[in-house]
Amino acid sequence: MDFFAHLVTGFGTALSPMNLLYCFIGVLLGTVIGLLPGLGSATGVALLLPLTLNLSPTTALIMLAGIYYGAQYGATITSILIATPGDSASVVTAIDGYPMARQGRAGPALAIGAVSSFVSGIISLILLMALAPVFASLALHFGAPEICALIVLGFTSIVGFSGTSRTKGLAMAALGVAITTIGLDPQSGNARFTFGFINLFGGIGFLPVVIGLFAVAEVLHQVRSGKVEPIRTHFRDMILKREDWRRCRTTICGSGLLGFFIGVLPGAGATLASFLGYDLARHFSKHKDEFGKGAIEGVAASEAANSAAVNGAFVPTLTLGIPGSGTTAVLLGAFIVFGIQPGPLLFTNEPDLVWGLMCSFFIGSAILLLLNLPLVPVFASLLRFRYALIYPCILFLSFIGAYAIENRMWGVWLTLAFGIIGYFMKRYDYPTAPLILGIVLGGMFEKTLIQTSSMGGGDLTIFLNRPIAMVLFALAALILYGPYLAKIYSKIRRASARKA
Amino acid sequence: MTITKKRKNFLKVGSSIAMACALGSVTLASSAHAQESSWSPSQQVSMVVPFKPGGGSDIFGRAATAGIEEVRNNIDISVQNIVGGSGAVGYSTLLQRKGNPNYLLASETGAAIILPIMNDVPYNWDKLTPIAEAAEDHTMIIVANDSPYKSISDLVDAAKEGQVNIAISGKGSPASLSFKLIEKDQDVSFNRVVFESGSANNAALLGGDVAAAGANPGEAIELIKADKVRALTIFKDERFDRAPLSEVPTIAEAGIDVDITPTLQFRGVLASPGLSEAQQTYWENAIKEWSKTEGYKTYINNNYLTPKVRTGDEFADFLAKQHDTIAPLLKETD
Repeated sequence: MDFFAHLVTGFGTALSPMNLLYCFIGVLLGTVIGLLPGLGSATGVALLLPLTLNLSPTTALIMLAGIYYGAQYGATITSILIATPGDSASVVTAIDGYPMARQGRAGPALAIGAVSSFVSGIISLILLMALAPVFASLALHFGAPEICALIVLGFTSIVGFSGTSRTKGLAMAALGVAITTIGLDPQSGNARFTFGFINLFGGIGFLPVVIGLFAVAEVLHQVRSGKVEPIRTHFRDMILKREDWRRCRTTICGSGLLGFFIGVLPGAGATLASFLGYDLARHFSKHKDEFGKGAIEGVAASEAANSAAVNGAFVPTLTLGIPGSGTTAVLLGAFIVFGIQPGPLLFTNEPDLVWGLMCSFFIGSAILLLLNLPLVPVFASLLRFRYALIYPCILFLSFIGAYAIENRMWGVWLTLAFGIIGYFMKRYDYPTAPLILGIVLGGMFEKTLIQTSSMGGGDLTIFLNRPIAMVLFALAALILYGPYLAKIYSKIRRASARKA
Repeated sequence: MTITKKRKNFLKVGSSIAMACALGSVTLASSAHAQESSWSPSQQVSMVVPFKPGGGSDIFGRAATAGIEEVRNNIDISVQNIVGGSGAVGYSTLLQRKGNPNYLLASETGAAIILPIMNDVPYNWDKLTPIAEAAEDHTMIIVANDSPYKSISDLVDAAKEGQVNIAISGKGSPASLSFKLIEKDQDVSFNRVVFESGSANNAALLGGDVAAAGANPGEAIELIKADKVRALTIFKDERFDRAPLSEVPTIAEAGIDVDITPTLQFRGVLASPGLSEAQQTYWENAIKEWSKTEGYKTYINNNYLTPKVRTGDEFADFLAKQHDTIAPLLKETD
C-alpha cells in the first residue's frame, strides 16, 4: 500500500538533520512564546514567519508547525502555575490545573498536561495520517446548522462549570454572550454597542478578557486575602504517580477522540474542544466533586482534547485548503508565501512536503515531551518564590501579553477592566469559566444561527431536515434532563418494587 | 511624548522577536528638513498593516516592504500590524501622523472605501495621501463541480423560479457587490448567506449548503484544479491568460453588461495626509520600480492577482470612482 511508502519518505524527510534541528528550534521558540500570555500560537507563527523565509518550504513549515505545538504547551504551563492561560485553548486547563498548583501539586499537573497532550496527539496523528480524506468529507457535512447544534451542546456544559450556583453560572454565560454582540454585526456589517468608539468595532477580544479575569483578578484577590504563602513542594510530589495515570487513562483517550472530531470541523476550534472534552470527562468521572477543585482528570481532559483538536484542524487544512483553526489559517498563508497552493491537490502535488510535515508532528510531539518532562520540577519550583516577587511578574507578563495581542494599549485597558470585574466576581463567588464559554460560543452561535436561518430563507424549520443537527440537539437535551429522567425512572421502579 | 514612544517600542521588542529592530527607531535622525526635490527617508519607515498577520493585507504589506527595500538602498521598513476595528484603527493611526512621510499603509478596497461608507469612522480614503495601486484582485462566481448550473444564466433562471442560496463574506464584500450587480441587471434576487471568510464560503459550497459563492481567484484556484468547483464567470474586462483560469468567461461574455469597478479589490499603498510632492513622488516611484522586479511577479503569480499600477491622480480618480459606484449599491443591499 502507498501509505507505508509515504510514511517512510515522510519520516525520511522529517528526520533529516536539518529538519530535525529546525523542528527542535520551532518547538523551543514556541514554548517560550506560549509562556507569554496573549502571544498564542497564531500570533507566534505569524510573527516568526519572516524568520523562515530563507529556508526550504518543507523545513520552514516544519519549524512553524513546531512553533504551533510548542506554543500550545507553553500556554499550559502558565495556566497551571499562575492561572494565566497563554491562549484560549488552555483556559480550561487552568480550572483544575491552578487549584492543583495551589495544593502543591503543580508537578503532576504539568506532567499530566505534557503526557496527555503527547498521547492524544499521537492517537490523533495516526487518525490524521490514515483517514484524513474520510474525515474531510465528514467535516463538509457539518454546515452552519450542525455547528449551531454543536454549540448548543457546548452551552449545556455551563452547568458543569458553574460551581456552587447554577443561576450564577447562567448569568455569567449570558454576560459572556452579551459581550460578543459588541462590534460590527457579522451579518450586516453595522456597528452595534460601539458608541462610536472605533476600538470597539472589532468587538471585545477574547484574550484580554481571559488574562484579566484569570491572572489580574487572581493577583488582586490573593493580595486582598493578605496571607499568601509560598507553596511548599517536595520533589516527591512533583512526579506523576501510577494512581494519577490510572485515573487519567480513559479520560485521555475519550476526550482526545472528541477533541479530534471537533478540531476537524472548520471553525469549531480547540477552545470548544477543550470545554467539551472537560465536560465529557466530568460526566463519566467517579470523582465528580473534585472537578474545579484540582482534579487531575480535568487537566488531562482539557489538554488531551485541545492537542487532538490541533491535529484535527490539519484535516481540512491539508485536504481541502480550508483552515480548521486560526493558527492553521496563518499556516495556510505561509504555504502561499512559499509558493505552495494549499488545496485538495496538495497530497498529490506535494507528497514529500505533506508527509514530511505530518511525520514531523510526531517528532515535534516527542521533542516537546522530552524537553518538558525534565523541566517540570524546575517550572513547579518557581512557585516556591515569595509572592512579593511572583505577583509583580505575573502582572508585568499579563500586561505585556495584553499589549502584544494587537500591539497597542487598548488590550491593556481591557485587561485591566476585566481584572477588576474578575476581582469582584471572585469576591462574590461568581464563576469565571461560564463567562469565558459564553464569549467563545456566543459569536459563533449568533453567526451559525443566522446562517442557518438565511439558508432556510428565514425559516428555522430547516433544522428538521438536518439529521446530524437533530442528533446533537437530542444529545444536548439528554445531558440537561438525563439526570432528572434517571431519578424519576428509579423512583418509579422503587415504587413499583414496593407494590410488588 | 518621547517617553511613551520609547515605552511602546520597548514593549514591542519584548513581545516580538521579529520586531527587534524597532529599537533603532528610538533614535530619531533629524534631517526632516532635507531638500524637497531630493527627498528620501532618513529614518526607519513603518508599513502599517491594519489587519492580522497571515491575511491578504499582511501578505501584500510584507511583499511591498521587501520590494521597496530591494529597489531602494539604505532604507529600512518595518511591518507593523496595527489591528482593530476591521481596519479602522490602522487607518486612524496614519491620520494622526499628518505630514509624516515615514508611514505607509497597506490598503485595499474594504477598509479604505467600504467601511467608511457603511460606518461612522473618523477617516475616509480621501483624507489620506494616495501613493499607488499595486495590484488588483477580481471576483468570480463559483459553483460545486456537480452543480446543475452551467452558466450565469442558469443561475439567474433558477433564481427567477425559487430560492437560490449564495455564500458571501459580509454585506460589503466584493462578492456581495458582484451578486448585487447581477441582481440589478437581471432583475432577480439571490438569497444571501453571510460567512466569515472565503474559506468558509468554500466549505459551505462543497457541503452543498449554498448553490453558488463569490471567491477571488486565489481562494478558488486549487478547488478548480481539483475539479471540486467550477467558475461560472469572472468580473474582469479580459480573461486571465493562464490556464485553468483562462477558461472562465468574463462577466461581459456571460451576457451581463455592467461596470465592474465596484467588484474590484485593489491592493495598494496610502500614506499620511499632507505629504509634500517630493515625498509622494518618492514613494510612487518606489512602487513603480517594485512592479518591475521578479519579486513583484512572484507575488502576483502566487496570489493570482492582476498586475495593475496606478499612481498620482490616476489612482485618486480610481478611488473616487470606486467610492461613487459602491456607495449606491450598498444602499440598495439590505
